[in-house]
Amino acid sequence: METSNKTILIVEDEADLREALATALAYEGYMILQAGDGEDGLKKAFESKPDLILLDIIMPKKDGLEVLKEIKSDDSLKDTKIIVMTVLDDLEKIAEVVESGGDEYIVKTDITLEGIITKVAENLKAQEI
Amino acid sequence: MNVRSSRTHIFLSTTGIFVLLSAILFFVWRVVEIPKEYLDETLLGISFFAVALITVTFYQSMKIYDSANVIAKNITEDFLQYSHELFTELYRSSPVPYVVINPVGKVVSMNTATARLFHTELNALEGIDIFSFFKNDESHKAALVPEYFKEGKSVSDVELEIQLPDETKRWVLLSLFSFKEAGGEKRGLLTLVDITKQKMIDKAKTEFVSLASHQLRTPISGMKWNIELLLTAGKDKFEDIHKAYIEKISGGVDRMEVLINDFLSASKFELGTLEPEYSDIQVFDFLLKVHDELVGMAEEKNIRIETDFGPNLGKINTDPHMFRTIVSNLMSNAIKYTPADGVVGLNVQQNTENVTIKISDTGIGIPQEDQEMIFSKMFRASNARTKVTDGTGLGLYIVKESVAVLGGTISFVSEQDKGTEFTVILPA
Repeated sequence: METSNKTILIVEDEADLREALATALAYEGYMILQAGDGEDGLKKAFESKPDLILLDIIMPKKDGLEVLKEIKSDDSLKDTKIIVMTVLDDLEKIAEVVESGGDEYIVKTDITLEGIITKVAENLKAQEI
Repeated sequence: MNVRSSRTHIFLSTTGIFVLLSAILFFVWRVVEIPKEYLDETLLGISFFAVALITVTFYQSMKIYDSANVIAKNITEDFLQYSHELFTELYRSSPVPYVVINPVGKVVSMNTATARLFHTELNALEGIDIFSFFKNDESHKAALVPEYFKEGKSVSDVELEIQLPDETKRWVLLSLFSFKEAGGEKRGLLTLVDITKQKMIDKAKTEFVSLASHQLRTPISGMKWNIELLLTAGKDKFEDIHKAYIEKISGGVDRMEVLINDFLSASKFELGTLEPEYSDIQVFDFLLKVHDELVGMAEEKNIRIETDFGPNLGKINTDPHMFRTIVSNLMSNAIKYTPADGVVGLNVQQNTENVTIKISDTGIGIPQEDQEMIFSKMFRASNARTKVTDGTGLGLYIVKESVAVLGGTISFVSEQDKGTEFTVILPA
């Protein structure tokens, strides 16, 4: 898969995590956009129409679930894949992610960067089909 | 001195005096030369004297005995009166709520502390079934209390949640034992110690641990990912020594993550927020994976893992995460507490109803005196603490709680310096 023409938006308030993700994905050749809170994330999503969004749940200003619902209710972003990231392994939140139209969820502590790269690639491949 | 021994005493004293006088009489008769003509009178006189002395002694003894009896009776009555007052005062004013119940659980009497606990007037509960207040208890322990009482067994220190007449709830520590009243009727004495405050403190502590563990997981993810970046990006630039340092940091972070996850699991079990998520798993494939993950740890100590997978292994419906935790914790414990060159066994059998997993080792064993406590939270056996320094004492607690949530049982046999075998039976 050609990665250079794909844009990924990372919405995550923890700078250490966001930057590590950005570095690892940029290394794979993706175009990377970053946002440190839900509001900024939503703004950048509508501006740049990324191919995939990595979205944290617990964030200041607007939490990930609200961002997810707003994106999914807008037609212009209907093709954008969304992978929700959480440290919560609680079932209710995850069930809500699935109901709100998230394509996938990952538990940050349980996954390596390599694992995330694989998930991103799988979702983008599914998008092409 | 009791009545019986007093009587014996008087009888023996009187008999003694009689024998003594007979001896004197015999002596006088044989030694003193009494003129023949006075012999009859002398003997008669001495006999009269003897009988009189015996009678007087007996009479005096009986008098002393009677007055002693009166004194003893007075002392006993005073003591009984004192005991009764003491008991009544203790029962009434004790800070511990006491309730006396009849054989069907209806309240016969209660003390002030009970009235305070139930937010009612003193004796307002008389005639009410005390067990009806325990109905909301979710642990089903409450249902066992009346049964035990019926069978005449004692119940001690059972934690229950009770619902009061004004709908508020309290946590109590319940003890119950039966006794017979003076009239012979069976009664039960209940103590209900209010432990609501301790329970709330305990809950707050658990919630704090849960929150802290949650918060700590984010920086751990950051560390793990940055270590991964270092190792990927720097793999051609670093020398071996640098890579070794990074590996050490990585190992430390992994250990920290395991600890935090253990704290989080333990707090979830305590808060009752852990709901199992059931799905079908293939027992053989699943356990082989767990086994493979632990092979490296065993090889470091040259420990052989002997597996025995039964012929009927198929699917079971369980929570995969908990199932994995159970087997993985027991196996890594077995490896950890087995000296180098030992053997760890994994035996798995399945039938239509359940799957039985036996995990054995040739390790240090669990000392007899520690065996009762082994599943308690934060407990580590005395020999485990000295031989293996790391460990939180949460592993077996999590295993026991997971087994309970999945509806299974766990047991073990262990001999110090010989080894241990755990048996887990889970529904299929």
